[in-house]
Amino acid sequence: MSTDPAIIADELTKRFEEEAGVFDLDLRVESGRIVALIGPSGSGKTTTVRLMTGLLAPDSGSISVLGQDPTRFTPDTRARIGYMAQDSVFFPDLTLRENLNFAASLFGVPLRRRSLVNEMVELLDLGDPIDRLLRDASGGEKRRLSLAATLIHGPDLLFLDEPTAGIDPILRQKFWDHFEHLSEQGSTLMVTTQYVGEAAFCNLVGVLAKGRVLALDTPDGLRRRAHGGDLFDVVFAAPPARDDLVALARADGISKVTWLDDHSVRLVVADAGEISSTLVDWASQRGLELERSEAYLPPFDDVFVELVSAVEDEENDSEGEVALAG
Amino acid sequence: MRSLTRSLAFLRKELVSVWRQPRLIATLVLGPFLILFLFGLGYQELPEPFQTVVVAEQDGSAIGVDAAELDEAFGEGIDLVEVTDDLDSAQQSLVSGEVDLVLVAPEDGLDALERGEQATFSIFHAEIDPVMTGSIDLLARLSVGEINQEVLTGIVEQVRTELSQTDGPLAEALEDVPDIDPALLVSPFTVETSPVTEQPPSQAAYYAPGVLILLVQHLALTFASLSLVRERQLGMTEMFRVSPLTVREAMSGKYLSFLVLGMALASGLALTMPLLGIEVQGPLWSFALTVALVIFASLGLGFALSGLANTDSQAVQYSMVVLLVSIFFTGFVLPLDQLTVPVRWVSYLVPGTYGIAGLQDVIFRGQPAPPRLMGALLMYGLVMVALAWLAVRKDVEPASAPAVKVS
Repeated sequence: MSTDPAIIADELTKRFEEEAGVFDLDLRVESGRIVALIGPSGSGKTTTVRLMTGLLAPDSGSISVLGQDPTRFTPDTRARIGYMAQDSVFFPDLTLRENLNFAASLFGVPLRRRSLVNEMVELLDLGDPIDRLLRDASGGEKRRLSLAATLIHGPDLLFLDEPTAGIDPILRQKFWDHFEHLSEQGSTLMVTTQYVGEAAFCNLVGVLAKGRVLALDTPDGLRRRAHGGDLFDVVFAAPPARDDLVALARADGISKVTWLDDHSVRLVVADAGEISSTLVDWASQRGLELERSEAYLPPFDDVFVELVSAVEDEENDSEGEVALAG
Repeated sequence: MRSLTRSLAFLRKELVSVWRQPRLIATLVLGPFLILFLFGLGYQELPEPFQTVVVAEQDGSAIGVDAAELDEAFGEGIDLVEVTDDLDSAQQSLVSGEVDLVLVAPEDGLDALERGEQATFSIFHAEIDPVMTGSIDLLARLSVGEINQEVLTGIVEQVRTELSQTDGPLAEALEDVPDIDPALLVSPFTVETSPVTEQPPSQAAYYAPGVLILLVQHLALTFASLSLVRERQLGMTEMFRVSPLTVREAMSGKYLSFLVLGMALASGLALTMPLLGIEVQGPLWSFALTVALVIFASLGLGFALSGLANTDSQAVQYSMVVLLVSIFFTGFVLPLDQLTVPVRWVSYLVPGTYGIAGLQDVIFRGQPAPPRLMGALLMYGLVMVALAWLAVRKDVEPASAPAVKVS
């Protein structure tokens, strides 16, 4: 496995209209990692992928994928890349098997490939529809075919544009299990998704909105960034007094205390792994009994909302400042 | 090897796609055969005789030739319906479409002759087809020629009879003149035409090479154009541009697949030719080479035109325009010689022009297609390859990189 970064983007910009495109994207993806780009529709995820596959040329900035400018990829480099487009695009007059073979040929997989095709069919549960015409296949079957066609040549670097869109939860989990398997084997994956929760499966997550990267971090790093630290839930045997909680909020490593209900609070802490002893000391000093205490992992939907809201607040604040200055 | 695999992928894909459309295949193979068959069955080399009314003097004898003789003089091209002296009624019949021609005999034919003037037959018709108008004109001249011969023959006979009944030096001199048929005297020369080909084609057979070439050209052009446009519409080009596929691989696969299809179709059509009474008199290799080059050139034209089309219907419209141009400018209907030189250049922009001329030589003259025609067709095809390359390139190659400003 190469130790060089698979993707390096520096102030990458592609502008379609005033507000649409990708702006000043900085990104570095090490080989063997899974990086997710999450964001709402129109946030620039697909544009980013298209820039990295050479389908679009940037207006400014620089980009290197597998050590090359994507607009000047050599055929050998292309053969190392797999790309799953957002829409399933194949030939409706061919069967799923024929389409899969076509894709395999396109990437130079030798003609003796029956076992490889069967492997993909089994992996993606395409046994029944494989000899059906594509025009007669369901949306899910087309999506699975699209993924099989992306994987069949064993690429080192995969760009998967919303691979799980429209897929049932069980198959979605199966997809992610396989993505993790590919990552363990050394493949690098860039996955775009609108399912924010899927960010938890990735090594690195970029949150995009309006063509800009709001945050780029590990899943845990993003959670901390969204809430100002780790979240830790504490449940008391009896309702604590307000003074007790004021004292708790002043303890080392705790930045915020929020009521959840009479018996429980949520803490924002610097490090959830080191807060337990502080809590135990504080409870014994105050004569309080802790019924339960544990780190809370907020869903990524919440993390995403927090991050986007924070950015919007900042933008509103800056607009207000400008207005005042004017 | 990988390059070959990619080209073969296109070959297989195109062939399977067409194979999956049995009705299309049936139409492609049976359709042209039926067209040729029906055309051969129903086409009359000579038009129907013109139904004609002759307007003449009351006794039906305009210039001393009675109606029966007049009908015989007209020959097969004219059916004499009636001899009348009512010009208005005859013209009414013409306008209502009951008859095709109204021939008005000169009232004073012999008087005019005695005055040293030509007597004029007037012919009225309601034809609007320029070809048929030309036919009427030609037929009228031939018929008047026949009438003139009949008149002259009668005069010669009459003079000879009258002279033979007199005494004198003229009658004696006449006895020394060989007894030559008066009809031969007034028409001493005739003409025969003999084609150098062993089996001159019938009118229907003559169009067979044109039908075959135009059909093959049209299908190759349409298939090629639609193939690229559909890939664009499906969004397949995105996959092509990310893959290691090169323009050369995509083009070679597509050219090969449609060449195979086109040749299969042409072979099917060629096999039906004997059923229509047409035999290929020249070498079969030249037949195959001509068809192959037409397909090659037409595919290039189709790929190039696909660059101008955004949708299926646009691609079909372009190919229909080429077909229309082909009908008028390739020599299929009208001889190329009848086109003036600047306009004739349009003919050489269509592959069918070379193909029809070449195939006519192979089928009817028993000769290989002229090398200059085949060379021109090959050159045409190569130029089209260059244009097609430009059209395919934008589907296969990645985004052209502008000068990226590295900040």
